[in-house]
Amino acid sequence: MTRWVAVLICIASSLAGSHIAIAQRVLDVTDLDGRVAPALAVRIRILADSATAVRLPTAPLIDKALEGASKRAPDDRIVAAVHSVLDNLRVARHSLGDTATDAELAAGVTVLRAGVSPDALAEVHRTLHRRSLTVSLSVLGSLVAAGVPPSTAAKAITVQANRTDDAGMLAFGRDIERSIASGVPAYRAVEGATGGMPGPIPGKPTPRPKP
Amino acid sequence: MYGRAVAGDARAYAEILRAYRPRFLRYATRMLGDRDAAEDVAQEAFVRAFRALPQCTGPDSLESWMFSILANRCRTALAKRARHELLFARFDDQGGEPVVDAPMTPHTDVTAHQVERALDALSSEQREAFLMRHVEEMGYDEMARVTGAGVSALKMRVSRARELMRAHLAEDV
Amino acid sequence: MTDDLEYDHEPGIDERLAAAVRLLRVPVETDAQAFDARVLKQVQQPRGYAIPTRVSIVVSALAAAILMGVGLHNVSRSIVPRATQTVRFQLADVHATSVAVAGSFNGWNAEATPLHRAPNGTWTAEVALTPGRHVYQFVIDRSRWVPDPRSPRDPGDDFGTQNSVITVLPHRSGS
Repeated sequence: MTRWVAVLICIASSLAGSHIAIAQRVLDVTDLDGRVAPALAVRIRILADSATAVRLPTAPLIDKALEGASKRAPDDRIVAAVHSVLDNLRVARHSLGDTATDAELAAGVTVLRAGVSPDALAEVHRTLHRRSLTVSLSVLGSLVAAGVPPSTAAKAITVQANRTDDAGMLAFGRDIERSIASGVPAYRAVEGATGGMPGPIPGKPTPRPKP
Repeated sequence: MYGRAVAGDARAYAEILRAYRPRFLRYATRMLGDRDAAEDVAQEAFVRAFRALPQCTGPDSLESWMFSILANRCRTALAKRARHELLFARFDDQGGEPVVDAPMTPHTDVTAHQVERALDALSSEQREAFLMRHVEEMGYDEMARVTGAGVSALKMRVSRARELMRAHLAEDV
Repeated sequence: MTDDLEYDHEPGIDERLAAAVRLLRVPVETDAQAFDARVLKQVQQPRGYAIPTRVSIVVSALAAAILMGVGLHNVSRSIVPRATQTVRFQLADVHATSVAVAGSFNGWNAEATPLHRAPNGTWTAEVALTPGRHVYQFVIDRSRWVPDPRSPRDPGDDFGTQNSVITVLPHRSGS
């Protein structure tokens, strides 16, 4: 009996221990305290001041600083990365407009830094109208990471956004990534998932005219 | 903090000074090859920057803007000194005390002395570009803003600097 | 020709150049307190166009009030609760002695979210995440950062390794 009680306690403990509720909240400059060196914290705070002054969210800056600190990156590299995020937040604001949420701006920063042009980002925004931009931009970023050229990925997202919802968009992205991972060229993976896209696709071989 | 510093609050500026001092001193020391001269130049740059803070376009460009003041001060200091003085600038001058007590890296036998001799082989423009690119890890656009040189010219200087550094480091093998 | 030195990958002479750069990156020792004191002494000397003390106090107070207002605004935004979804993080590694997940949902804190090892060497944690996009990596043995082989990648690579991405949909959309 004692042994079974001990087993039950162990199971209960492991179940309790394996479920972790994260009290997620928006990061701010105070999250730097104790996590980064004071000198670095000052440099980040100055950049955060700049974001605040133009009503851009500071959480992406703090997040990037904490990432770098946890990964033990040199301070200068952390500052450069945070600076890049700040620069791209400005561009994202311009492309996505004043009504873009903080999450949409952060997602916009990701795709801009991946090489998607500000115009392409604005086009994705225009196409989606009121629909969730965050999910589409998240998939766009992952497609670029998988090897799809930024302009092709942006085009594919724009085409697919009119055909499906958020869950469908995630599945669309997964399908393309799996195809690429199995060796299918990126353009073919995109073509297969979209059923063909209008216009030229960068990276797709141009058919030779027959003799 | 930035706003207070621009308004003339020395205590706010003190925080900025503490944050930027390590990087600025490192750059000045590597450029001038002389720690005392580097401290003088860095000190002057910080004072000038404080007095010109209202001219800075905003907090996000503060560090780059201040760094450009430092880079200008370094160039001015170098122009005043004869080239042969720099050849004898040492990491370990001032009575033989090492400026940097850095361990040698595993699998290579590069010493501070070898690095200083290789750096001495560069022109001041090449040294500036090399330090900004590889030690300060600056992007070319920022380097162009700080130096006033074009990106193409800077890339050539960095490339040439690397070739010369490699050649000098290889000579010591 | 690549512009950047790939310090850990290029053999031969570039190893020496990379070693030289590492030496150059070492901070320069100095009497920081004395240095700062000299600078501050000079900046505190009267200038031709120095802002009068009373005005600078008012300006500083106004700036502080504005920043505090902005800060309070951010605080009020940060405590709005959002519904979460439970996500399972899993990694197979029979050799690891510890595995944690660190990412944008826990401030990249490698200690905050440990995974638990099953007898077959699979590490698992279930985490409640708010809807949205989250990036993360696994941290193995407190030092090795690896992406999740089962998740899409984030295109960025600021610190040497790509992060993984998980996108959590709100309940109404399903996942």
